[in-house]
Amino acid sequence: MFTTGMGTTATAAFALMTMAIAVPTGVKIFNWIGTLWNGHLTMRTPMIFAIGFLWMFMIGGLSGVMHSAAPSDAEQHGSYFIVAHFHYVLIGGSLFALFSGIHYWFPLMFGRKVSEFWGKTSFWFIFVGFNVTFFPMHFLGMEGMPRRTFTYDGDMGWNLGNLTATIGAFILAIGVAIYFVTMIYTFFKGEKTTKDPWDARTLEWSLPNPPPEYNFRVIPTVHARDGWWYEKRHMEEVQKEQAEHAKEDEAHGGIHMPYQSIYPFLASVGIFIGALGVAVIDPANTAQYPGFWGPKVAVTIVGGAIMFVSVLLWALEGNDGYHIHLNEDGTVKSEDHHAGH
Amino acid sequence: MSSTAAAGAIDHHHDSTTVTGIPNKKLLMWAFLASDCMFFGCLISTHLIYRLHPPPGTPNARDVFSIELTSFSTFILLMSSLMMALAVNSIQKGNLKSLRWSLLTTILFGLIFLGCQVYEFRNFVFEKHLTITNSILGTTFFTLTGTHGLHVLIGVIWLTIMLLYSFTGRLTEKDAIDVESMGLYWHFVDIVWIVIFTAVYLLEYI
Amino acid sequence: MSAPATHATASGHELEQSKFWIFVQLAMLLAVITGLELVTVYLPFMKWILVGALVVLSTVKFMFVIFYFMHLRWDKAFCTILFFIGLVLAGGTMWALLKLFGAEASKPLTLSSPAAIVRTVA
Repeated sequence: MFTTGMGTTATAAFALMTMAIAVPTGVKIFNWIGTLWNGHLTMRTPMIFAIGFLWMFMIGGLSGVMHSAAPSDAEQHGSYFIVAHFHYVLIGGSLFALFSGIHYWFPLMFGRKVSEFWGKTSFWFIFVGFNVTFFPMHFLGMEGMPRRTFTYDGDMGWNLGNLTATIGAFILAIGVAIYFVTMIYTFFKGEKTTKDPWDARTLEWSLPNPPPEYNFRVIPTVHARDGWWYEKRHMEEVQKEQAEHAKEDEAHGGIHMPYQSIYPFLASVGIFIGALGVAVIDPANTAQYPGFWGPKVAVTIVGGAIMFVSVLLWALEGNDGYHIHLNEDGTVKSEDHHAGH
Repeated sequence: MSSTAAAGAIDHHHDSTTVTGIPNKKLLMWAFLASDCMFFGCLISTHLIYRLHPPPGTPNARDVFSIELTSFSTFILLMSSLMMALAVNSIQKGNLKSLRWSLLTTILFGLIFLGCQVYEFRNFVFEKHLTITNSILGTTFFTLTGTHGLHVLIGVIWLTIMLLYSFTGRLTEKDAIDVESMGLYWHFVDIVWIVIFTAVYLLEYI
Repeated sequence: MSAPATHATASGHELEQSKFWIFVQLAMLLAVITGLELVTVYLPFMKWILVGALVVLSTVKFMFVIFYFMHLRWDKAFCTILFFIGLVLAGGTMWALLKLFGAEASKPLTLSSPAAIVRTVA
């Protein structure tokens, strides 16, 4: 962008803004380190993915801030250095964090625990493969290899770098494959888990497994930052509190649930169709339908109409919801769908 | 909690709030209007930039615009804003009849405004030969006023639905917040037009 | 109900009554200001004075509508803050864009601009 010729003022403004991003990001990195500091870490799969995230994201951020300086960006722009940067932040950053999260919350979502051995194996393949693929790209970029070309001359000096990256890519692919195959296998045949398999600190783990329709019996009162950790150590006090709140809720007509409405989904279908019409359908390819009311406009209008009608019916439903009454053991006794309450 | 507290307090059962003490619906509408401000700000900026530094061959805006028509439609929109405020006032007192009349006049004035816009656009395209593609003035003008017109149209549709809904008997005093949200949107459309009228039309005539 | 929680019941009722007249009078005032703006355009003063006057008049209309019609005057301050965040960002963006596109490097090239002369010579 600094190479678009937009003038010194704009360039300076954007360079400053880009550099400014590094400040809160740096704060975040220190926050995360601070969260881990002095902790009794158990190196299970979610933890090693999270630590991997921290390290890889930081590397990506460092190469990113190198792009914020306009003169240095003038060299790096359009080269593989940029590819290396954004893959480090996207794969090293987003993907590692996503994998960590999926692993961690898998027991809550599906009631089964993923095997530690296969989780760790997938991590090491992904980690090694990812670094072998994208680290050489920093050098390739510095040596001048441009982006978005499908081939290059054999005597540019880029051969070894690209070969290394390719080998790394295959290792990364194996790692990701192991990860997803493990997930799918665990979904069907994994070891079933009890409530709170990680001895966790946060409230979502206080739910039974699988979580009931109404989620929480009583809206939890949060006593500490790590609400569930506190509750586990003050069981009696919390149980008394919950019994009181349960009585109050029952007096007010039970647990209030929102409507289970199909209209939000239908509205999204409408938007999807409308967006297809606006963004995807190419008038040039539909030249045999001349005039304004061709496929593009028709699809857009149909999508828009579906969205409009869905939103209208959704609004007319009202937001009263219904109420649930519970038995002693937490199963649903009855549901109250009377209007106006 | 399901019994309404003293008049003037927020009914928590129907108007959920957070620690701000402001009903969520109102908060949402204000946040949306703040973002819409930024949206229109960008469109107005683009128009102003290309009026300050016009590329060669840009038509003269004074030859194209008709200040009389635009003044009339500005006045109409201002009056519709008054009607909307009266509508909100009525529903807060539970006066459904007055609400319906106020909503009807708001809709009528909104439609007159839209009619003036449509007439103006057709005049510009067919008689003055200013289209959205044939000059930068046309592009920025039609994008800006067209987007505003779309906002007015959505507002008119929303008002009509609310008017029809008021006949079903399900709209009562406790639903005043819904009409109020509608009012906020309609007034916003009006204030954007105030800015557009000054920045796009009046500035050309100085 | 969305009437402000800070007013006691009695004065709340009075406020509702007088609001009707506040709105009508305000609408008349806005119409008058619009007329003033129309007149301003044709006055024989320097451009910057007229532009300034128009901006002031528009701002006055804007503020009246948001504080009275949109009820901000009687609502909690947070609503005002929220809206003004958007307004300030919009205004700031507008200023930044006008400054950026007003810079010499951004102006469209014409036959008389320096860069064009350099090109035709070289």
